[in-house]
Amino acid sequence: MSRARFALSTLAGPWLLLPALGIEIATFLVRGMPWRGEGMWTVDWFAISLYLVGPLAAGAAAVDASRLSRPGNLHLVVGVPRSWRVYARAAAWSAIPLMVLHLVTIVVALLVGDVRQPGAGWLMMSVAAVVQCFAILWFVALGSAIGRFVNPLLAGLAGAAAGYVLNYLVSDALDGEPRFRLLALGAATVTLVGRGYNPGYLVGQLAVLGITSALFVVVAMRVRSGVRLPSAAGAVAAAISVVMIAFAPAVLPDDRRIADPRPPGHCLGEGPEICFYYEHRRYAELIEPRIRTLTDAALEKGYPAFVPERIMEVSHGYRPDPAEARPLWLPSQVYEEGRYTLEDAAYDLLLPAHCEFLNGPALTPEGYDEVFFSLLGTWLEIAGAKLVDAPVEHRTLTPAEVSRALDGLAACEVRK
Amino acid sequence: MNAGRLVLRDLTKAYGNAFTLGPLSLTLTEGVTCLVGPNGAGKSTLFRVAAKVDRPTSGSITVENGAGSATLGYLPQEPLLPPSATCEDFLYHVAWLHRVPRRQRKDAVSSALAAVGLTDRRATRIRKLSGGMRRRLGIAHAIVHDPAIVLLDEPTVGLDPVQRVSLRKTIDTVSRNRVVLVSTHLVEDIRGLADRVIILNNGGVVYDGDISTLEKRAAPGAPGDTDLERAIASLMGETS
Repeated sequence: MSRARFALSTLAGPWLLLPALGIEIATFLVRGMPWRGEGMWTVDWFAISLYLVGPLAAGAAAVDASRLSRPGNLHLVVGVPRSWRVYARAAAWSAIPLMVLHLVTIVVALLVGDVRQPGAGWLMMSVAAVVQCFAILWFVALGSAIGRFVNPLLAGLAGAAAGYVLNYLVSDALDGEPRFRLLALGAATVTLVGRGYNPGYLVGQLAVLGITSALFVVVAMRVRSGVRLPSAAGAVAAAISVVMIAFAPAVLPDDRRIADPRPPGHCLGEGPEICFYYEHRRYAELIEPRIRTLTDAALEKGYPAFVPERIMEVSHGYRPDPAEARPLWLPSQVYEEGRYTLEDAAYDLLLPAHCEFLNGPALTPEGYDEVFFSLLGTWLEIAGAKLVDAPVEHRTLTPAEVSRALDGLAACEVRK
Repeated sequence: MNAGRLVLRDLTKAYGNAFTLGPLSLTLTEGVTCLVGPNGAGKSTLFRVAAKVDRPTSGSITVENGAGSATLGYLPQEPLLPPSATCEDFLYHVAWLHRVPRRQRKDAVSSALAAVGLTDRRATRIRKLSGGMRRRLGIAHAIVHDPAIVLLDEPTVGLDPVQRVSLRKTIDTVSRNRVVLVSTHLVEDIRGLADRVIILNNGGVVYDGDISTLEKRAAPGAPGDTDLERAIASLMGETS
């Protein structure tokens, strides 16, 4: 109790818990909590909060290290055995509460999302969460190393600025090229179903973050004519850290995420059977009735070509063979707003997303828009809805025309 | 505990071309040694080097001891005592820094508080202490790990006469079985505390001995009301 009381009365770091709690709660609540249900997305989503928490932690740790190093206190740093202990203690009081808060936030989010069978696996999700905690530790250690050599005001600014800049320089925020980056922690804003973690990448991050954090904390100081400078060993430790961070991409894996080709396994009904990923089972109540409205109307009005035998949710690692199932991609408004219209459903089921012309620089074939929007308008019309804001003129197709057009799109051709 | 010895061998500390302390060769033994000198004589520099806060330019400074602890305690001229912490929590922290074993920390803190007469203030926040109490707490933080050598840099500065008397008693208590080096400007401190006096001027030792011998060095025309004052003034080169 005495230690906690002393830390709270002398250090800035522990008080960072309060703004960090606000940041974690804001991260939790924004955009309709779209990560709910997906284990990997949940873990990676909360890396977003570290874009603020990291620099703040570095700044607070720098202030604490600087205050410990002031002239009237310096004798309790350089005049005691293993002087790094005093910095390590201060850093621990900054880092550990933030790490615990971050882990608790992720655990609460997993519980709120009712995550039960995460495709990425519990072990790798746990490792990814620990990597984020190590990143917090790394920011604190970086701030501590900076702070011990400058005055408190400058230390706070320099620590926070260094944390902020490195957050971008050593992460994938500015450059999406596959390459190992120490602070690539996720910060995912879209679904990650169909992806898994690359164990080598995460272990590499753990190792580099852990080693460089330790090196930052043990950077020893010497005083030369009143000026605080790193000792020779401290300078070597800092240099080793920089070299490790700079050269880690040369030896560690490039991709943090790997494709998971697992098909969806949560299947409902028949004629058509609709399969969702287990992580997205909560969206079935929203999506299945819309699709059933469309397929029932198509069968009733004599347009069986619209109705596939099976509809399979697609993911980053899985796309069904067009001959066997119609792909279904859940748009972002499903996750963020819980909104899915008949038009959304028809559009998603008709879109020939497997075709090269929708995925590359090639132009769409002549007449594609007319055929596509005619199909869309026809399906909505027979289901009692109306296509609004179509970009091209379209017309109601006969069942035979629908069948011919759909066969054409399956082969990535336009058949009128 | 046996008192140790603080041994300086050809010690120098240079700050560019502006100032050089030493070379000094001294051996400090049990009891209170008062270090006297004008501003800029090198007193605080010597303390910082002795406390390992600053490195000597050349020479060495070592703590020697026959038995027991050979550690060193240091009260800087303007210590930063954390104002929001309680006396007890602060001393626990310092004891931890000096690697006092966990089981002995409570006794170490109690002993240090008792030695400086602050036992009844153990739970008081430091910002609520008077100036004299803060000085005493500063001494407590310098002895909480039971060091053989204690360095006190101008501990009585800024205190009123009553507080100075009280603090001298505290230092006297602390000096039992220890080497205590006290820097001061005040003649009354020297007379009340010193077993030995060292006078520094321009970075060099101009006197090293006891008070009675020092008093005999008083120049007749030197400023001061007593032989001790006149002697110190004479040795500092301030003869009128």
